[in-house]
Amino acid sequence: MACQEIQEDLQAYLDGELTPVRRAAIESHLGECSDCRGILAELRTVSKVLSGWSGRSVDDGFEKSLQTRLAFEPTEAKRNKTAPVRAARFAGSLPATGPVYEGGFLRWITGGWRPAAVAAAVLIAITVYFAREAGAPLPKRVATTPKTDALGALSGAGTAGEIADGIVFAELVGKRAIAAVELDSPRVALSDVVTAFLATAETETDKSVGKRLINLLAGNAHMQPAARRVTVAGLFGAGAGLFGRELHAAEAAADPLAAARQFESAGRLREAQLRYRALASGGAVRAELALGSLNLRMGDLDGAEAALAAAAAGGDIVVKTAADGLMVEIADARKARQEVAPLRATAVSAADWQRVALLEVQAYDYRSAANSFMKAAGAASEDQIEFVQSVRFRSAWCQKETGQISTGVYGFKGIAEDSRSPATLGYAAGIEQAVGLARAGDYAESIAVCKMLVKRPAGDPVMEAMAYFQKGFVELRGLEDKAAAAESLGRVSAAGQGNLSYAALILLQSSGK
Amino acid sequence: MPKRSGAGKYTSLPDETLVEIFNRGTRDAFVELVERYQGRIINFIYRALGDFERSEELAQESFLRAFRKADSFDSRYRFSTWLYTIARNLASNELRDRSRRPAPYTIDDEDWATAGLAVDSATGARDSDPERVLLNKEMKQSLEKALCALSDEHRMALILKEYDGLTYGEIADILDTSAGTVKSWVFRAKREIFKILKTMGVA
Repeated sequence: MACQEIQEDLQAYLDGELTPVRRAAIESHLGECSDCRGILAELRTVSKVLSGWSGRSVDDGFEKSLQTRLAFEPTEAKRNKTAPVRAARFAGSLPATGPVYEGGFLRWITGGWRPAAVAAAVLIAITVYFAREAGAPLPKRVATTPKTDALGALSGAGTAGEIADGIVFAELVGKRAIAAVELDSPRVALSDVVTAFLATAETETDKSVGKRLINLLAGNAHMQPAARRVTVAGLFGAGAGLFGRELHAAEAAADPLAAARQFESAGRLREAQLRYRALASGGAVRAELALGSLNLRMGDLDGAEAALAAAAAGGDIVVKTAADGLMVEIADARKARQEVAPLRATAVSAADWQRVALLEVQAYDYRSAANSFMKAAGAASEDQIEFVQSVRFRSAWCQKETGQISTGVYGFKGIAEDSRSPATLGYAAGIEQAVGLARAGDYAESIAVCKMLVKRPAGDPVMEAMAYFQKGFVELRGLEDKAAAAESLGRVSAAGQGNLSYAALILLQSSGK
Repeated sequence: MPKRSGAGKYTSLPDETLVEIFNRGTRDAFVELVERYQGRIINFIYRALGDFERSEELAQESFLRAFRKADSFDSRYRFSTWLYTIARNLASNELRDRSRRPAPYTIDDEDWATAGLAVDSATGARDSDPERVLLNKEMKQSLEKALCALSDEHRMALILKEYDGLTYGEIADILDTSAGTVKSWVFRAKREIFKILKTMGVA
């Protein structure tokens, strides 16, 4: 047999891909031909060298990030071919009625009711924050819940600074959810980034506390009219902001980025911007991300885009994910700006102005939105008191977003103290007021508001728990009155409001030290 | 890392059944497929490109495409072949782009195990001998050079055979050629690598 013909098959011989007959022929030839044996040895050597390349084992981040992206992929919509499937990474229009999957939680999470998911995400953020902040290792119960994993993925490797990013992010998400739900828009808001992380939790078998409670919250929100869901989301967003601020305070001494965030959190946006910019020009990618997010908040879309592009180019997968999500926001904001201009010119009725205002929120033009909400209130008739109070609430909220925290607080105060306000809205406004006051450093006023709140029924256990939580938090952190804080936080736990009560427990424990 | 429910429920089912379950609306089935194949797909692309970071991105893209196109999957074929084909297409496109703006082909140090090379099988000692360490490093560099020098098709055929352990038939489906051609590509690829290793003095 000719050597060349044999050699062609030597690799197949090594690979075990020959018929027994052919194999025997090769073996008999090898027994008598040293040239061919030499080539066989070469092939083996190469295999040995190749085997030195072990490849890489997959890290957690890969799967989490993939799950996030998959969570945006409609299944049902694709199967019945009725809804458009968008390929954009963080955008994908879901059918108005939720797609039907197996597993109620996932259906809920990807089909709608995003604000509640946001609230849930924020609760997790709070829980993780307190665990860290207390200086204790994460209690096992928290550390192993999928939701904390999800937050871990959202905020990077889990250092305090990165968790702070996560909280800032969650807060932003809370805001966006409001506009998206109220406009009844099929577009996927940034909130989906968070809901998707939560959706990844669905794949975990660990059905521990966190999950049940998120379901509870979800179910709770599900039963509420849209306005209530929005309120709940807004509340938790605000709460996260407060806690984030405290976290930053703890770190600020060591970390210039955390110091810069403190300014943003306190409503001093220009000062924060200057600091982010300085850090970013020194090459800090997370500062670029923060700058992009702040520019967006301030309505500077071009500035936001530039910073986010830089962040995405230099960042790890967490930064990239966040930057990509925000880029989608920018595109939506531009669209909303185009859409709103003609509407604004012709707006007459209260409904017109409300729509204009909501679009302005989407356009990241909070200053105009605050005005438009007030115009909607002005154009409403006398008997539409519920409507009037709800748009005033939103106007105050927009004020707060532009950094006018005291103006916002004043607006919330008006609603909270107005006996004509619907009970839950008034209560929510009271909490916003207390949060705003604490943000501005006015703990005494904040605690006074909380005390009034807890004396009256909210009609909603989550909100009552939130009021007690806020009260306990200020008592502990602002007034350093541990006994009072223990009492308030104990009530949060007694109300059994999920991760919030767990956060209260951790906070209590930390005060015992 | 907690066990995932996808893995729990579906571990015993064949890939193709999972695709069917997924196509009826159960996402968990796809999760199981991701868990089965993510390592293989990432590493296949990594070795094809010599760029780990990019391989993660393209692997994600591969799964996304599979997710979107799962309803067009023909269950008469193997899922793995189909998935590899998607990954191969993405890798080929990337390589085509790179031919215009060349990028280095890199085996990351952390992935360069010393198995069978610098480990003393009797004592289990690793890399204590500086000369061995050096040789090992040179070996890696030579292999980078050799793999980079191969044509894309030869390299992919070799990877799929050597690292993924696919049959010539499967590889032929993925690379859209015949089993006979694959056999000869793998053979030629290895001979070429040997030549380069030899010129560089490490084999």
